[in-house]
Amino acid sequence: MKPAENGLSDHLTMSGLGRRFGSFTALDNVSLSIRKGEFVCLLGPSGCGKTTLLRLIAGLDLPDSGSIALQSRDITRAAPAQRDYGIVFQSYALFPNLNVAANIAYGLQPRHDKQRQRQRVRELLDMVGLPGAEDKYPAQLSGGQQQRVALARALATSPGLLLLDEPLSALDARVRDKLREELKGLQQRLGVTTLMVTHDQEEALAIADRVVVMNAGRIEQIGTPAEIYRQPGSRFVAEFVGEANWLSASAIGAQQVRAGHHTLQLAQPLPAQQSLQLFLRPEDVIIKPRWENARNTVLARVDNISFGGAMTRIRLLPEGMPGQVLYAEVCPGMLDRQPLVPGEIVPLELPADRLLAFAGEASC
Amino acid sequence: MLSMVWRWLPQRSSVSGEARVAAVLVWLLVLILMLGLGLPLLFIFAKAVQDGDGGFVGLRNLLQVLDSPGLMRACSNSLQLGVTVTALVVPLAFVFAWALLRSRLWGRGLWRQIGLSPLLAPSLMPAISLVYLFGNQGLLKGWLHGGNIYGFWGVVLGELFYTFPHALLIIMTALSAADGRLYEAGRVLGASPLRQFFTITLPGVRYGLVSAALVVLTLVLTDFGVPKVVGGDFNVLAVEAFKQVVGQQNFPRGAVVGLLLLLPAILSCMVERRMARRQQAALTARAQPFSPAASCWRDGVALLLLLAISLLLLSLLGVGVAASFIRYWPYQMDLTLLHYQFDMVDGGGWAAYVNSLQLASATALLGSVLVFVGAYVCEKLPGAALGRGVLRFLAMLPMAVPGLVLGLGYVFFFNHPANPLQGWYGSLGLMVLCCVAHFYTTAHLTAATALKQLDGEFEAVAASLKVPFWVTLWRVSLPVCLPALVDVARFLFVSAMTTLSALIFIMTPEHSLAAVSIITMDDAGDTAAAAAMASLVVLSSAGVSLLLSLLERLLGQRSQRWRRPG
Repeated sequence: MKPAENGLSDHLTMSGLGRRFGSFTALDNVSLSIRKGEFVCLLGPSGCGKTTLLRLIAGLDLPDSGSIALQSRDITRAAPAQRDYGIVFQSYALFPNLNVAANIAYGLQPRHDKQRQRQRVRELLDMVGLPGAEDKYPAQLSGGQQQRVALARALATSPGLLLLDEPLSALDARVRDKLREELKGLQQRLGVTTLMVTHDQEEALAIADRVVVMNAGRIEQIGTPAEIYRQPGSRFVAEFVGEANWLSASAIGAQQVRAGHHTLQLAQPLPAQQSLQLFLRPEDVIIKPRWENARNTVLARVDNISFGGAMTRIRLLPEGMPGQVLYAEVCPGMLDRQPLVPGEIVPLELPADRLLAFAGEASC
Repeated sequence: MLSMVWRWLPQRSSVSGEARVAAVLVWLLVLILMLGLGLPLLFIFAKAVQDGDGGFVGLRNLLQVLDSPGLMRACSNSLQLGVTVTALVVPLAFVFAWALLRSRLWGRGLWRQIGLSPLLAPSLMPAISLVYLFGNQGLLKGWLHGGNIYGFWGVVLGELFYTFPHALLIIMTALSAADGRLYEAGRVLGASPLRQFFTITLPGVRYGLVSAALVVLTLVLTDFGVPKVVGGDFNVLAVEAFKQVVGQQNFPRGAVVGLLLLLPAILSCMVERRMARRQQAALTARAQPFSPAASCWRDGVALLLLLAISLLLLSLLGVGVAASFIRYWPYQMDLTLLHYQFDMVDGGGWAAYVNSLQLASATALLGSVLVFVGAYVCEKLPGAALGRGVLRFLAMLPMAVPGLVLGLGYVFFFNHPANPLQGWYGSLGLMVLCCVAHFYTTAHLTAATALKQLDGEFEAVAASLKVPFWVTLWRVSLPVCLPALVDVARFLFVSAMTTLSALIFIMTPEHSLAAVSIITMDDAGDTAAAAAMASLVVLSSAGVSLLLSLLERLLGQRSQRWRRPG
């Protein structure tokens, strides 16, 4: 079931949220709506305000300004227990002295109906893929298993909203990938509205229906993973998400720039500034088999080739752009057809529809 | 009062019963500590600037004290004593701690217990032992060549015994935080063991050494058990304060002396704060625990050092215990229980002992509950930020207040004719309050450290599951912190059993206490009975410590099952 089909209504709405800690502005006028059943990721570097936002939603902290509504009920200042959510922290925060069953049943009501609790715990453990783990203690479980128990505990009371605070970042890579997939599957099956905080852009792009990129207490861009990756809305997003080539250029026409001795065409209008930075993903650099006098085609010297598994990374020094370096990523199959050797000069196409221009000087 | 408290309840969150309960709890604890600590201290300040009839006289009392030659001599005596004892105890404790932690000797747990054994005894115990060894009928009196144990060196020896375990605990903590990688690097770079000691070991414990020195200095300056018994003509400030208040009923002068005794503690607190700011974490997360390499030579030296110091400590403890069973030291050395028949002597006898047991039990029980709840609301609950700030301050305050000063404050505050609680004066309840307040800081820090090790998100998770904090406190925080809580109870029991300084001011003859009756008996010349009572105190402290350890182990088997990895 696609989230967009069943959810016309907004499940969670934040408007104009602000939070300051002394002179530090953690959140600055943040507004965001999340639809019912949607999986949204808050993505940003540490200190960008994403965790502060999550804590405001959870009621663990109160905003200085703005409001939060859950299913059109104002919960801005409600106590955590008066909201309706389950939460999973990076540390899992499993109660160490209670076994798995008692951890999961911690919030179940009525508290003394042991029979029903046992049944519900069994359901939840089956759901997260840990059947029969009732009597174990957290210290006896691996990190991934603890994570599943924490998830089961958060879902036990069937909350309308699931909050995840960097839930996967304490796990090693292989377990993380597996759990990420399972988490997404479970979320779709249950249709629970989910908000996850992460600093891992790959994770955010892989799991979310929509990604919210945050920086310095503000929202930089909201969009689907493909939009965020292919059409970054700001220089910050372009730099933070994925790998990119940056070329210094200056505007010479409505959609034309000069980079070194070359004139390049863009498919989109340019920002108003004279001094620009061109953005191009490494996988969008096209290495041509032979020279054609086409638009946006330049010559470059192959400097270095490094094998990287699925993609091979090629360091290129374009002619006529002194001091610039371009990286291209090509699949090994292409290299089989057209072998490259360091020192060789190859023609490149920098596709006009993939080139984006941002204002400003070179970064770093 | 209540309406004032209500105003401080968190207004930001909407009506949440849970937040309200938390705020009420915070302010209730503040109220208790204000009553048991804050107000008595304020009354000392007030008393110090009043004459005997309550009229304001400004600094006249202080000037009078500064002008009185007797008091000034006591003051300089105190300082001389403090510096001497500190200069002796800190190296001894360091040597002991080094031999314990940096060698591979067997039985290090036993040595440790011996090093800490003075904690179980009232500070009078070494003084009594000294009297038996070097007093007028002392066994080893000949060693003094006609000299006299009553006086400066007698007090020094007694204080040495009394302050040793305090210094040892601090230095052991500092020494155990050693990063093995530094020593490996030193060895690889070719540093000799001596050079390693001076460039790695000593700088690592610098902070601990200074801290231990400050604690010892403060303890010596404010203790009056030892000087009372073996001081002779050697008068110190702490005894002077006692004489002024209890003997001469000169409250204003007692208050000024009390304030003078507050100075070293406040000074040490300030120095420690400054140092703590400069001190970086000695152990980073990646540090490797240090484990000493095998070395017969070093272990031999360590064994000799341990033996020598242990002998000194055990003799100062053991002679008193032994003497209590001996008919007439040193003339009739046959064993008897005669001295345990306290009803024949002054001091309250067995009733005093029972009182002490009751006091110590009540302090341990009520104190642990109070301290744990206090530490919990300080560490784990949001809201009532002002109240928690005040509570934290009050929790750290007792560290800077010697028992003697606290006792004076109790006299001035609770014995004030206008105080509605005056009827409480001299009761067991007040003494329990006094003990809890007196030992609050150490207990609070123990509980707070244990609570800090719990995941900070437990309360957040519980709130998201709509479970109120008191359920989480009961089901999770308390069971997990149980070992620390048993430690707190043990500490409170032993401290209340052995302490003298604060309680001697507020007890009444009807409610005498064991530690106080030791002084009474010793004053009356019944040294053997005093030794018997001191031995009883040691025995009870040791017994209850052992009992609590067993209880901890028993509880551990039932409720700490989760600690064992499967």
